[in-house]
Amino acid sequence: MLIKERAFTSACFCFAVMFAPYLSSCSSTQEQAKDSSTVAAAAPSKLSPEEQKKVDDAAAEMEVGRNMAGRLIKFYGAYPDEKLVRYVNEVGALVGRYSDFPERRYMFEVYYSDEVNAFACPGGYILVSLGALKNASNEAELAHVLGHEIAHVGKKHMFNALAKMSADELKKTGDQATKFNDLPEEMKARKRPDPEESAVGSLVARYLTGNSAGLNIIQAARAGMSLITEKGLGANLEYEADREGTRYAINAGYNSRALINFLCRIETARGHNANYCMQKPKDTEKAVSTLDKTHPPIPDRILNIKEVLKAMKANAIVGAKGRKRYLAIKERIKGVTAEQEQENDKNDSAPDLGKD
Amino acid sequence: MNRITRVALWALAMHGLTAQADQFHYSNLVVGERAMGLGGAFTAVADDASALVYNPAGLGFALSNDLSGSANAFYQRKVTYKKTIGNQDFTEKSSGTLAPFFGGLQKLDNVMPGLAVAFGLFANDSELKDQNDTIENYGSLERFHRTANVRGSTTGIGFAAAKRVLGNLSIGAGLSYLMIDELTQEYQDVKYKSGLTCVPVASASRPNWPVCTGNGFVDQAFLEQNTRFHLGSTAMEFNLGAQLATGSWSFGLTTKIRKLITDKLEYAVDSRTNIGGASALDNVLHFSTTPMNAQFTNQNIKDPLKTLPSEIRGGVAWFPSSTLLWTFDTIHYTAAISDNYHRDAVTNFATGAEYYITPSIPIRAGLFTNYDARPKVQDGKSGQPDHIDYMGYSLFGGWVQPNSQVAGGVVLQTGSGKAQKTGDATIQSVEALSYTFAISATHSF
Repeated sequence: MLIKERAFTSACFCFAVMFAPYLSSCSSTQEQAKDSSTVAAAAPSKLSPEEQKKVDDAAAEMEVGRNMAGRLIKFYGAYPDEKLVRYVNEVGALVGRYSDFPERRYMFEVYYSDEVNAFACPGGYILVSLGALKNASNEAELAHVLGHEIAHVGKKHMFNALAKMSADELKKTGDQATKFNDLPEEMKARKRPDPEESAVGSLVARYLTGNSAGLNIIQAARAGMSLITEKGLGANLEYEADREGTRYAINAGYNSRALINFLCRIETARGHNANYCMQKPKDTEKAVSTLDKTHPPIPDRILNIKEVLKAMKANAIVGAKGRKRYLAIKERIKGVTAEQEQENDKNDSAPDLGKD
Repeated sequence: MNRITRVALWALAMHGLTAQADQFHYSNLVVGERAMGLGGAFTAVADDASALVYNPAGLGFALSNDLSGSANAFYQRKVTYKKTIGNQDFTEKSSGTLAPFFGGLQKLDNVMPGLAVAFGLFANDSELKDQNDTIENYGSLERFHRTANVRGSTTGIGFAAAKRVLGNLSIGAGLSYLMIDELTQEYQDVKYKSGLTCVPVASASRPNWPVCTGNGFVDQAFLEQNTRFHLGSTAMEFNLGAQLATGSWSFGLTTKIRKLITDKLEYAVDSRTNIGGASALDNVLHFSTTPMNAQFTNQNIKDPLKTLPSEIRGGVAWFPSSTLLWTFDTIHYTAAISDNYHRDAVTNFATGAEYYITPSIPIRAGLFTNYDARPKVQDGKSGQPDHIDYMGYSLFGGWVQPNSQVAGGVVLQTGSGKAQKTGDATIQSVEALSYTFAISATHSF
């Protein structure tokens, strides 16, 4: 009898450990949902169907975003400099507070890639590349970049795009994220079919993890990876993120032209002259980077940004660049040379806004 | 030999230690979520945490990080010795304890491409036997009552690592700590009828043996005996494996070497009897009675196992499509012979198939042998141990969801063989049946 009890106890322990990820996932999701005041702070004990849907959507948004961020970090690798990441979080949190969504919680991470880019995953998970940090010459530029991503998150660009897709579209789109889905040739034979998430499965998953029953989280995250790295969200949403992000960064007290400078520096690094970024391009260049594939051409984006600056009368706004603070922290990034900084300095001044 | 004589001899044979856990079959339990369904034919796949048991090299081809667990929810075995008590069959039943497998797999491609590690807790065997036999007023027996409680398990805990070295070739190694624990406690209460006439016959070899014209003793003979038998051994298991993937085929080869660390057997008998001995000659049972004899023995036997069998597994797997898998394994165990345990070399076979009816519902079926490592029972000898060969069948269904899957099913084993349960040269046919209901769950992350 004692043996049976022992065996039963050890089996229970094994299963408890096995389901620990579910349980921890459950608690963290719930905590994060509570942090989002749009969802839980106003939630009474008994929710109406509409309120319940909001709570479910918020939970699903967090789950999809967390899954996507995990995949990105797994693929690229996280940059392991605590101080640098803390700094990026401080700047991002400040811009977030001056955005249209100050109640949201944003989590920033730096990933290993020399490509200039940043990713906004649903739920507030924002990843900025090492290349983007190297490309920026001051804190204001970083703030504008993060503002752009905050706008994507706050406006739920990604999540809404995924929620609109049918199950088939999600699957098809997810399969197109080749960079993340491709298995080595010798392992392809072992791949089993991608499972369908059934209604019962959703219910169980919801019970265990607090997921939304309305969205297949894994399929959505896979599709999200395709959007974020291959197809993009579409020019209109990128323009909107540029406009809104610029506004948030300016409201936070940063220099108004920082995003233009940041984008122009990408073009000059490619060998274009300083005015290239300010002109309407004659021919569409072949997309070479993830940024090109998922965003409109830089000159078009700058034209769009200039409109919002004009509307805000940004010429009259004196904003901070935060150059000293930024350079001090930028020194922590390996591979940033004094020459590169001098090159950045040269490109720290885009043509005047008044010229157009 | 007449029936009554055989019953009496059977009862006497039971005076020795008869109930033991099974150290002679190597596939009593099949572990691992997918492996259970495939009948244990997993050497060329082994891309989950159960690679520790089947082939550590399989870790190099793992597709995801996993935490998985399985448990035999219900296990029972019934061994029937045909026509053992006269024309009646004698049956031994045993059940299984909850024998869990719990393991985790972590891919470490970010540390080194193609590198993966796993840990696991597994049970190779687990058995509980509560035997209670009573025979009353049968021939010369007035009463025979035996209770035997057996607890036996072989449990391992270990870790394994593998690395793909040439893209399609993975090399893996595992190290496990094995714990073999067998405890048998047996109580016997035997009383023979009295009042029969016996004529003492003196001879050089048996000066004090009376010869009875009937079956029984002049004075009432009895035996009360408590026996305790505890085998406790530990060992290290070294596992080295390779797996080669070519197109839709995969080949696996692994070898396990086990080295005993501790090995001891405690044997204690506390008995009170006036039975001196017995033999059956010319269809007449010959007993000797002695004055009241109380005995207490407590022995520690060193190196009862002496050695453990090594294992070589070879397997092939065919993945014709993403919904179909076929596997085949050959598993050879070397002989391991000691004074107390005689285990011959054994070769088992296993084959299995997996088919996804829908992307979320796989069905797995397997077929395997579980041959007895004890020598075959031969005519003309007596006191030979049982020899029972099993054929196993497994059928499992799964339910796969993103990031998790559960499976459940049954493993059935039917056995047939020979035994000498009466202690003399008579051979009985044996039929056996065991069934296991198992459940498992895996979480991928």
